[in-house]
Amino acid sequence: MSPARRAPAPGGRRRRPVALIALGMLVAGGLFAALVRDQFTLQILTFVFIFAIYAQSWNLAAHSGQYSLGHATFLGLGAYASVLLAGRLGIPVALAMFIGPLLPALVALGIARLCLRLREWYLGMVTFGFTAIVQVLVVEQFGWLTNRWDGVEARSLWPGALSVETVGVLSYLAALALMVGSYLFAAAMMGSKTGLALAAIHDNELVARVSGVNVRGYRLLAMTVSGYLAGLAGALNSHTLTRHISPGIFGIEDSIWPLLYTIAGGLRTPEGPILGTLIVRVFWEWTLRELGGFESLILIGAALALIVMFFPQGLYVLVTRVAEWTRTRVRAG
Amino acid sequence: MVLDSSSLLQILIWGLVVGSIYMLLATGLTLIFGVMKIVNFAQGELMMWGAFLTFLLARWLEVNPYAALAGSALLVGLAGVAIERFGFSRIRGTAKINEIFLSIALILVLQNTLARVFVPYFREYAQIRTPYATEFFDLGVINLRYDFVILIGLAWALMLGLGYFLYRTAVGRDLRATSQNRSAAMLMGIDVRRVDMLCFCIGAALAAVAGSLYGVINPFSPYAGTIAAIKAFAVIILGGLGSVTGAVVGGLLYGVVESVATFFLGGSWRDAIAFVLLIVVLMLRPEGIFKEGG
Repeated sequence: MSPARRAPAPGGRRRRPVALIALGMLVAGGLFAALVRDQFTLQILTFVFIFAIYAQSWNLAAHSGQYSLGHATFLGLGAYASVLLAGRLGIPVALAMFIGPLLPALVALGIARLCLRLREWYLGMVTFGFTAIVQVLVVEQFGWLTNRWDGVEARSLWPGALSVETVGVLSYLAALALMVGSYLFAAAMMGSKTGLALAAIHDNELVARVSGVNVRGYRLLAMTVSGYLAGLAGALNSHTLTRHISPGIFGIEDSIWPLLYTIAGGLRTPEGPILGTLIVRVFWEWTLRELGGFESLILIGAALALIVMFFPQGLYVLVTRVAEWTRTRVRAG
Repeated sequence: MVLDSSSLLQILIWGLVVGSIYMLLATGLTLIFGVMKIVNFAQGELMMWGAFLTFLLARWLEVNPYAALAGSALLVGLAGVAIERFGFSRIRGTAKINEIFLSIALILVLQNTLARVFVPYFREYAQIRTPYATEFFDLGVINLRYDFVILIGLAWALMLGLGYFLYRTAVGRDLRATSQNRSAAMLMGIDVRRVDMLCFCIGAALAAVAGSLYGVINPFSPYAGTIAAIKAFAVIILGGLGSVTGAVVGGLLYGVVESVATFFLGGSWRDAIAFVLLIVVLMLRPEGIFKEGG
């Protein structure tokens, strides 16, 4: 693609008000929990926050041009590591949740190392392949530890004495806080010199290398960080929502959802994964309740197809356009 | 593990049967990739639609499934044209990840529409019944099912027909030219948009045949196609993206390898084998075994 034809990155080079957005999310999220006491709604949003962290992790790898089709490897390994650390070794859950993801970070580093020479389809298929292989390894080779297909019960993040309602609200707030944290981290990383190097690698690896960018180092860094973040999302999910982990997590679906959420929201913007996860997931839950399982997925597929055709840069573009429009209006008026 | 010659032969024949199905799927994928440089992962869902339509046509019209298969391939081929026209042609030339995104959106639509129609009537699985389901050749050491012979014969006849079309007809020449160099083909007066549609039509029809044959030898569900298409894509990466020879040889070979390896390593490794193979090969040769060509 010629550089002239390529549209500028969504969000442009204009500095985004990161701190303001983060504060806004915290306040809006907190207010929502205070006003809406419905357990089920809060649970859906907890899920949205956790998967927004996961989508963010995919987005960070994508920012360096490494479009993974196998992020479920890291999601699942993070969950398994944390659940087993907490369950078998008795490490406090709040600690295990942060130590466990070191395993997927390490695995991501290894996979990225193996894939250094690969790009596009080749990279996508190899990352996908690792998920299939890791699933078999978890079930067969480590079956003694992982209870094979039955999976393992996960300890709750919260003390058992608390009521179900309290636990629901606490999980919601924890997920919200971690999501905002991951947003701040991603925004800082993308906005920094590192982010610039990653973007350069994404656009043209050869040119980046010629300009003196350490392509190898940055690619490894992006995947490792991404692996950790995905693992954290997996661990959080297991200790709060599912309370159980099984090899089903290494399926195709858990690898493609972060891709769908991120692109629908806005690829390679720190806000995109959050916006995409929220919109797609809420739309899903709504259609699921109104119409039923098959129909809701058919509608989501159709909606996603329309999004990629009419807003190839994701829905976040709408937000920036509105912001741009008001800014020019204010200046003109 | 004890392995006598008759079970070895049985495994090899099963490998050839499965390999023929992969061959059809992979050839469709590689044709589309060659011309449009995109991958339609929803090929696996077209495959299951093909199986389901064959099943329905054979049942309603009370004809031989191998005859119903032609109608199913035609219908799915037309669906392929629609998918190209209203979907992929619109995002051609945008970011690579957008095709994956659109493919997945299509998978969601096609798979769940099929499941919506399928599940209430047939529960989880259906199988296409042929009149020869219980007939077999007695070859002394092993019994060879009629269906296996027909399946392999049909797949190969289609491949030969495709080869004739690609290499001996004017339209086939246009198609190969577009695959080799799109702009040059356009400058030579080839209507590449029609070539795109034709490729999607052939690709989808091949997927429908692959699915129907799959449905003859296996019970199938609406969800069986996804992983098969992804493995077929792994095969065409190994064979060289865009190479028809690579897809044919790779598909057949892979069927045999999968069948043998599953026998020795156990069933849970069946889906992972393709990727172990893919990873090992790509580590050694990042561009695949055969280089991309027409």
